Amino acid sequence: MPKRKLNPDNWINRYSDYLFNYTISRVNDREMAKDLVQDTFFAALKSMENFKGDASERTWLIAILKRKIIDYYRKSNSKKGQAEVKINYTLNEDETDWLEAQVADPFDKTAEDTLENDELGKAIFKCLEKLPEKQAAVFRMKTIEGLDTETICNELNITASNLWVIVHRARNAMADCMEKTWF
Amino acid sequence: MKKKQSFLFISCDEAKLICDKAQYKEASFLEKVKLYFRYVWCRITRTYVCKNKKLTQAIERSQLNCLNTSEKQNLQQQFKQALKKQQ
Repeated sequence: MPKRKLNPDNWINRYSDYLFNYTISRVNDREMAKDLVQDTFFAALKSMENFKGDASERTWLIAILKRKIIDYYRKSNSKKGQAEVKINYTLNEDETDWLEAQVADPFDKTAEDTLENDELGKAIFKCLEKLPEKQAAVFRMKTIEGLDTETICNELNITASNLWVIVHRARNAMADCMEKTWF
Repeated sequence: MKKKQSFLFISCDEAKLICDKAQYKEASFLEKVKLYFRYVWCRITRTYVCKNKKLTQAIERSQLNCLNTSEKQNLQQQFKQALKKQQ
């Protein structure tokens, strides 16, 4: 198998969204997730010489990010001094004293759901990486960020009808790709 | 001689465009009615609508998060500077 090469010029465009989504589902803090992703790219840049070319760029970056996330939890735990269990039993007005009301909601997210969402997110971002840059940008802004048409048109300097054509092409390509990998 | 078409008649491409808009709740009521008429008799439109809905559901289910444009640009700038220093 030919050895893979690193191309740091494309890292931000190709992997920042995927890495950010991966991080935020684990640290649950947008600012912290942003910092961790940034640290990951800088750390990767410093240790480019260590890349052997066996894994893909994405796998290598994720490996670095995982270490960053572990470090983050280690640091935040050491700040507390030691693990502590808080039993906070306060009755607010909207809380009941029924035991049934205090147990975990069985319809809440399970570990299995989280895992499936992770895999689904991975599949979507992989398909998004295959789109041409402009289509990917429009699709991301419209579908993931949920920006309105006018804002995107102003930002990218395109007309509304142009935007819908790009959205159509992007959705078509995404649906085809997802059909092969997920549905 | 040109035939007068019903105002409810739309082409397959127009139907696909309306379907895309509908995924973002940006299709008007009249557009949805037009899409519905096309949907009833056009197999290609039906297939597209089904495929499009599946994609929307998958994206909603995955609850994706991403960096917004300005955050990404900031990151890109800082990274470029670091890359220059490295080289």
